Amino acid sequence: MLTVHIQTEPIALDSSAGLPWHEAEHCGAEVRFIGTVRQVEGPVSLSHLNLEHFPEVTESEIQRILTQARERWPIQGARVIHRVGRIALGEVIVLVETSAAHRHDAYDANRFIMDFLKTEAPFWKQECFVDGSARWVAAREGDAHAARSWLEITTPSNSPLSHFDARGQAHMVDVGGKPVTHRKAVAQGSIRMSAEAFAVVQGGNGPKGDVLGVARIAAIQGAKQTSALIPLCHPLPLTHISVEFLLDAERRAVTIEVLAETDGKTGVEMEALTGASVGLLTLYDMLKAVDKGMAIGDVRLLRKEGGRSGVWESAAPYER
Amino acid sequence: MITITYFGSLKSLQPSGTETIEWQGGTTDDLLQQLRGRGEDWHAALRPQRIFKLAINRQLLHGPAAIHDGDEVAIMPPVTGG
Repeated sequence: MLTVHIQTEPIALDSSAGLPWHEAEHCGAEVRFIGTVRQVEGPVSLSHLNLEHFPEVTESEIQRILTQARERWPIQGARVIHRVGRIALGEVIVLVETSAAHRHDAYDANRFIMDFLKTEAPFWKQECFVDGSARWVAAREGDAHAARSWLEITTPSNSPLSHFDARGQAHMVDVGGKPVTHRKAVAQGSIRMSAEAFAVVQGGNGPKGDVLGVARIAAIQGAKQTSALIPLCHPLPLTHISVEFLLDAERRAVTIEVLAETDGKTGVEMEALTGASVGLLTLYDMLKAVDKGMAIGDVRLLRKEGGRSGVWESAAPYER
Repeated sequence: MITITYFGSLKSLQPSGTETIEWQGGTTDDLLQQLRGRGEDWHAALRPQRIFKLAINRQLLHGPAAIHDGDEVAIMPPVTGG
């Protein structure tokens, strides 16, 4: 339920007995924001505020903001009570309550409502001082910025995709604060081919020379190029790269296995995977004169070690 | 005749907050042009960046709109609630 009250009477804060304004049984969280009149910096003390609004229009604008919040977060209810007229120092100007099953939704929706209330709802504050003078408060650019920032969020800040920042934009994740640990990753991939091409691999000499020897160098070079090829990968000082080939005569498949190691703040799985991919592409290039129909596939991470996640091992290593 | 309502700081232009003027027809842009022509104060107070929104008959506008005889036009400066 979404409710809006605009009133000249003081806002009572004693509504702690239950949550009469929403379906409390599904709510694990209720967030209540209370805005009060504070003293302002300056030579003359503030006496009170005089708040003006635009009857009907203000109510419907707040209702619109609440509806937007409910479209965005699974909130059970939201309530806004805003005072108008004369409001003394220390008194409550605005109350924003949001309730949801979980606290994050209630917090986020509450901040959203307040940020837009300050920049979209037709209210105007006049500061009235003890000496009888008064001035209309100027809009703050900071408030407009706070409201705009909600519109820029396209990926939630708790996105599982760490390469997107809180505003949904790509970034290279800051690993500056992470500890240096020994990192290791093994990746694998296969290329299947005709009997004729497989025989060339076994024989060691293809149309362009030593097939596996060249592919091995290519995999090492490829692993070193990872940060240049994959946009958000960190450049890593690799301490070790090794490449193994497994030949499966029955399936006429060559499997490449690349091990990459470093001492660093982020993992080396992309290096191992890139190395395996480039090795496979090089095998294709070396053998394409014999067989153009070769198929590259099953490129995957077998194992990684180091960092916060410790050891990770592929559920179905090697052959399927 | 149309009625114009001024909110917030724009009340400095019209302390009663409202006035009624003759209207020969035109848009909200025409009205603002006419009001800005009233003098330095009006020109400064009604600069485009000083106006938050306009409303006709309590409907917020999202762009220039025609004003008809008998309409109530509201002129709002940037809001400062909460």
